Amino acid sequence: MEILKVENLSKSFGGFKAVDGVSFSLRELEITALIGPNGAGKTTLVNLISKKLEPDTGRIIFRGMDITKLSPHAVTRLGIVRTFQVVSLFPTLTVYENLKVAALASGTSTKEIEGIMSDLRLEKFKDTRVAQLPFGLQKLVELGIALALKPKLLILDEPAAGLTYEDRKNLVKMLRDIGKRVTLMVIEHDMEVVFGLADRIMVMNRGKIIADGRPEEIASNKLVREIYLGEG
Amino acid sequence: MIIRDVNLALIIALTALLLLVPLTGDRFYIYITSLFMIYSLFALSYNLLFGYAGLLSFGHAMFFAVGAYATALFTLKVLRDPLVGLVVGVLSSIPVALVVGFLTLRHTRVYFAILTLAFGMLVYALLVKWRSVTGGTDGLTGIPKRGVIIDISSPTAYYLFILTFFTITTIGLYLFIKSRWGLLVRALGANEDRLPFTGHSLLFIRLYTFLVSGLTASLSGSLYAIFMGVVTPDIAYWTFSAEPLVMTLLGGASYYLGPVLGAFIFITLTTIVARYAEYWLLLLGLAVIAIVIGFRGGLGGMLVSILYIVRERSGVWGRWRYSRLKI
Amino acid sequence: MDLDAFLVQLIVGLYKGSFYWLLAVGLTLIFGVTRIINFAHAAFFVMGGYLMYTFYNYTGSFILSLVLSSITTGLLGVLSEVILIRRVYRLEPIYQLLLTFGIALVVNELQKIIWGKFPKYLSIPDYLKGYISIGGVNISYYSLTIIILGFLVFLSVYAIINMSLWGLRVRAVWRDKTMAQILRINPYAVYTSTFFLGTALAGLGGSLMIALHPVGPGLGDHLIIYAFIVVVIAGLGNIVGAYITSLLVGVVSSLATWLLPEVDILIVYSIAALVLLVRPEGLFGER
Repeated sequence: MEILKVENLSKSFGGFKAVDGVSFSLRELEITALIGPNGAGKTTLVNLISKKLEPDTGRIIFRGMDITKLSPHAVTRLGIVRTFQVVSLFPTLTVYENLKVAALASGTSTKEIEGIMSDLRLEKFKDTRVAQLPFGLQKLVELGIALALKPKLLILDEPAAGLTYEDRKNLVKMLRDIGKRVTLMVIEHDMEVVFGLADRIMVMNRGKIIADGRPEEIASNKLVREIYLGEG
Repeated sequence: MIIRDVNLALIIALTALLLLVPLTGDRFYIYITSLFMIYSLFALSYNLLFGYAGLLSFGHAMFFAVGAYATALFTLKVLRDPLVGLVVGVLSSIPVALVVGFLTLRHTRVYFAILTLAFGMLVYALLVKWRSVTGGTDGLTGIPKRGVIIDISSPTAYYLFILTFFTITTIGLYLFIKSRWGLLVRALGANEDRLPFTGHSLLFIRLYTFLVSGLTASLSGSLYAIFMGVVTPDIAYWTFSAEPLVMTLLGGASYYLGPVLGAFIFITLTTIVARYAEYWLLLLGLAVIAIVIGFRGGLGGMLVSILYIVRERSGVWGRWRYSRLKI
Repeated sequence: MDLDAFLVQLIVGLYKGSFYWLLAVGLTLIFGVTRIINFAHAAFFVMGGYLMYTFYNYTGSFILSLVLSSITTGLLGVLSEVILIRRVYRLEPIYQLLLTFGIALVVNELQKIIWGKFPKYLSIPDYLKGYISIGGVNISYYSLTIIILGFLVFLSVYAIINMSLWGLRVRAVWRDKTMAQILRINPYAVYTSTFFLGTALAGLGGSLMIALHPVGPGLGDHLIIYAFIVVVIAGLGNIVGAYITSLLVGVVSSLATWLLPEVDILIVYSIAALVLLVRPEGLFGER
């Protein structure tokens, strides 16, 4: 079942084409990893899907509905939830309050919030102001907010960035669990995370998707190897 | 009865203190404390917008003036009663908040600030030019304290009238901030870029914050009109909009009761100190500069810092953990 | 319509607009380069007037006083930048606005302390008194001087910004501060020199104005609004736009006062609000 369909999406900044005629579909409950060198357009693509940016051309269809013209908060309420590469929380609010803000939009109950906090092992910090938390925990809060929004499609922008080896392994485990109930798309640079998680990998370079398939196929794809190991 | 919330406790304590003032029988103290309460409400309304929602406005006097003039006009031309006039004054802010809010809140914070300046001065111009209705630069006089429903002509009576609204509004606004609506306002001030991606409409949250802020500011304006008996257009001039801003800064924008503390300092400076030091505005300007460069938490912040230091040194506050001290 | 009266109002509008220009050019320059909206700018304009008063009474020479007061005002602007404003470049715009607001308060009060609470005025120097007759209408030499000076300032500023080396640095920092730093341009030197130029021009405006209109407490508060209106209608950061808009605002408000005195200021504020709503970048603005 197709949960997201993107048709001919483009976005330019001045003369620079960040996303160039991208089209793909995501299947429900499939975990897709989006990889590619820096500047390939991955985050811009996510920004377009989550409506942080307006596309120059193209359409976005989510669960059969054309969402191309909708506002970010409408799209979020429909079930497309994204996290941010650079953690973007409500610094003066506590962990609980951060999740509560999300819960107010999605109708999540207090019990469910507490469930999320315990899954992420954040209950101890429930009443701590998020600004006072160490980086690793902030990343978990970022994930917590996303979960509290009851996403149908969850897009994570470099969730493993800055995490220790231990934390990364836990993250992969957690995401695999989440992936059983929610469709996931993950932008990542860490190949261990990518290969440990993904059912499908899309590779982007210079605004276009240049490869799309199962992990084994991508690993042996000549073009992909060139980009990562060859000309760079 | 133990009140676990620090702010509520402070408000109750303050109310108790304020109840003592009319017992002194001193007209000057009653006068100046009444003014303090009115300005506190004005400053609190301002801080909802500024400290909590992160929206700097240079036109807040617009609400104060609308409330004041609406009350004045209603009691002078329709029904001579301060209580009804007050209600009218408060309600008059609703169309203003909705129209101005809808037009100005869709812009970025900096443009919003400048737009509020323009709109505020627009109201001022209206009040000055529409002589037939507003009395122009002379304003309106003879706003009654004795009405068909209530009579608050004596100093004690009007003082208690103001105090009642002061306490109810201060508590009410606090409950609003602690509610889920208030949580979204605080989220707005904390990180408005993130908010749409948590499923909330920025415009909607800004609008209802603007509305609540406007209602409270108009209430303070209405109280002012009844208290003074006179209204003139200078309460709509932009420099008057700057006063609640300064009060908020002085007391500390991140503390709920900061503006009240700031109002206290401000009134003290303008009336008492001004008698001896003619150039209190200079002190004010220097204070603003000092606060921006050094003490962004205002006096409230300094007091809280002192409290922490005391706690560290002497263990006096014993059972109170840091997280409890939520002001 | 009375053509003569119209002409007179037009001239009035043009010289008023020239004053707005002298006020707005500094604000625009400073904002463009430092991204700070200097609330104290009008206070410096008024300072120019006060300094002019003092220098003139001391030296008796109009032109010398003009030069001295402009430069002194510029230096005061630099002082405020170096000691205070520099510390808040990294803070949010709101705190920057507040700081300049505090500075405005302090400058206004200092003016009251030094020069007293009553307005000061100067008379126009003898060699600039008198009228010239154009089409049956008498136009004072002084107002013509102001209009011409305003235009010369416009040309000079435009030339400096677009053709000089310093102007190149200004434009670089204006465009992209980080990039300018990479190109070995010291942005802080540009900030300070821009502050000097902008504030000096404001001082010049105030110095010229005192011969026509008394300078006293409260004038700054009144003028800052017009400065904002001009800058905001024009769009923050455009020199040509600021000049045209200043003159426009001057003429429109002058005509409004003449034709519709019951609603004159209302018209100006309404237009400002309208422009802001429809085109928030201003008529000529960038972003």
